[in-house]
Amino acid sequence: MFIFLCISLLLSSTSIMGISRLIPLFFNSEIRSHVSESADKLRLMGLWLINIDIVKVESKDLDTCFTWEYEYRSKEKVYPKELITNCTNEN
Amino acid sequence: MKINLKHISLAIIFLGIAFRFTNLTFPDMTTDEVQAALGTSPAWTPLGMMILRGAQAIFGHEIFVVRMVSVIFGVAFLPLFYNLCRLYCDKKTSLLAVAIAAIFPTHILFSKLSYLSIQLCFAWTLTLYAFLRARKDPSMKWLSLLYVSSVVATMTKTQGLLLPVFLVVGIVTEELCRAISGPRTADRKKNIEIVLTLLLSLIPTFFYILSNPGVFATVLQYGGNMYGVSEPGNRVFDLIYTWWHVLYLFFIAIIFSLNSYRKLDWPFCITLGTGILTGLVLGPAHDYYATYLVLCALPISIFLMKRKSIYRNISIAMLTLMTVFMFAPISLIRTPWMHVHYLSYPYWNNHSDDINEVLKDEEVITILGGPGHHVRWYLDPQLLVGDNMQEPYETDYVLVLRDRDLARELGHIVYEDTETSIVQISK
Repeated sequence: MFIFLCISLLLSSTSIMGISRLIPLFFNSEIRSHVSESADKLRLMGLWLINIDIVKVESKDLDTCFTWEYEYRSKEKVYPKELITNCTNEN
Repeated sequence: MKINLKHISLAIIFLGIAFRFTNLTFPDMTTDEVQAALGTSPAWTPLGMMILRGAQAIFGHEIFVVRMVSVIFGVAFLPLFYNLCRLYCDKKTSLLAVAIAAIFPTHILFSKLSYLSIQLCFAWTLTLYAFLRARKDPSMKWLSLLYVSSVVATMTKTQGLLLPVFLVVGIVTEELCRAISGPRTADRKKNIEIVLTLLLSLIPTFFYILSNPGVFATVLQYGGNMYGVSEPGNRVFDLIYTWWHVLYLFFIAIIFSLNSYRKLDWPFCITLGTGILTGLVLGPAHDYYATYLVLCALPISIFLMKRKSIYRNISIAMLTLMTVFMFAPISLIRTPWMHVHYLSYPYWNNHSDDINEVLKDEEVITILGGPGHHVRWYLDPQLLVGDNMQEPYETDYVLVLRDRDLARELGHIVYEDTETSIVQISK
C-alpha cells in the first residue's frame, strides 16, 4: 500500500503545486464572485475560454486582478502562451 | 469440417474488427473529437487527451492517426472482455459474448471516432477485471493491476472516477450487510486491501480536480440543464430514444436478456450501471455514453446459450446483419440505419483546403456564426470568436458561417460556398 501512496503523491505533485495559486479562489467568496466578470472580458477579446488558466489572483484595496494564461492550439501548432491581466475596476 | 458455434463466433469477431477500420476518415471531425485531439478540454483529466497528442506527435496530425487510437483501444477491448467473461462462464459462452461485443454497434462506432469513451470503456473493464481477480486473490499482482487500471480510468476522463468510487461503496455496503447478519469473515482483510487500493488510486484525480477550476466551471455551466437529474422522466425517455437509434436490434436483445443479469454479481452490474448513470446524468442525448453498453454482450450471450440452437443461430445472424447494414463501407452501400456521421456530407474534409488557400497569408482571423471547436482543427490561422466581440473587428478577414446576408454587410466577399463566406474587412 505504501508504494501505491508514493506513486499517487508523485502523480499528484504537479497538481498540488498548482493548488496554491487557487487558494484565494477557494477561500474568498468576493474574489470568486469577480471571476466570471473577468472571464467575460476575455470573451470580449474573442478568446476561446477553453484554452485558458488562472495563474494569479491579486487583491489590492477594492480592486481584484486576475492573471490568465492563454494558449491557442490548432491542429499543427501550439501558439506561445500569453499572459493576460484584467482587473475589476477597469473599463 | 463441421462449422460450430466456435467457428461462427470467431468469424463474427473478425468481421467486427474489420468494421472498426472502415470509413475512418470519411466523417468530419466533431467538436468533441477535436477537443480531445487538441488536448483542450478543461473539464477532463489529461491522460486520454495526452494519448491522442502523443500519437499525433509520432505519426502526424491527421484524422486517421487520432481515430486509429480509438481503433486500437476498441480491438484491445475484445481479448480483455473474453478474460472478464471467463470469470463468469465457460469458453463457448465467453467467445459468443466477445463476438457480440465485436459487432456491438456503439462499440464499433466509437472505436472509429476519437472520443474518449472508448478509452474509458477499456479502462473501466480492466478495472472491473482486476477488481474481481483481487477479490479472489488479493496478491500484489492483482492489487497492482487494480491500482494502475483505476488510476488510468480516473485520469483518462474525469467521470472515470465514478467506477472506483462505486466499487468502494459496494464493498462497504457488502461489509455492513455482513456485519449486521453475521460474524467477521476472512474476506474482510481482502476487502480492506481492495478499498485502500481504490482510495489511493483516486488521489491523483482528486488533486487534479482541485487544481483545475475548469472542471468545476464546466459542472456549474451545465449543471441544472444538461448535467443533473432535472426532469428525470424526460432524461429516461431521451436515453432510451438515443439507445434505440444507435442499437436497434441490439436494444431488443438487451431487453430479452434482462433475466440473465441474475447470474452476474454486483461488481459487474455496478460497472454497467455506472455507464448508464453517466449517460443519464451527464447528457442522455449523447450517444457516446452508449459505448459502455457493450458489457451487455455478456448477458445477451448467456441468454442466447440457453436457447435452442436454431433460435440462437437466427438471432446471431440477425444481429450480424444489423451490424453489416450499419457499418458496411459507404462506398459499397448506404442504409438508413447508418449513423448520421456517415450519411452527412463531410463539409470540412472537402472544403478546408480551399478555405486555407484563401487565408494562407493570415496569422489571425475572426470567425462568426457560433463556431464549434472543430474549426480549430480545420483552419490554419488563429481564430478569434467574433460572436463575443464588438465591431470593428481587428483582423483583415472575417469568416462567417451559414449567414450570407451578414457576410455581405461586413465587406467584400472573397470566398463563398454553401456553408462559409470569407469577408475582407475594409479599414
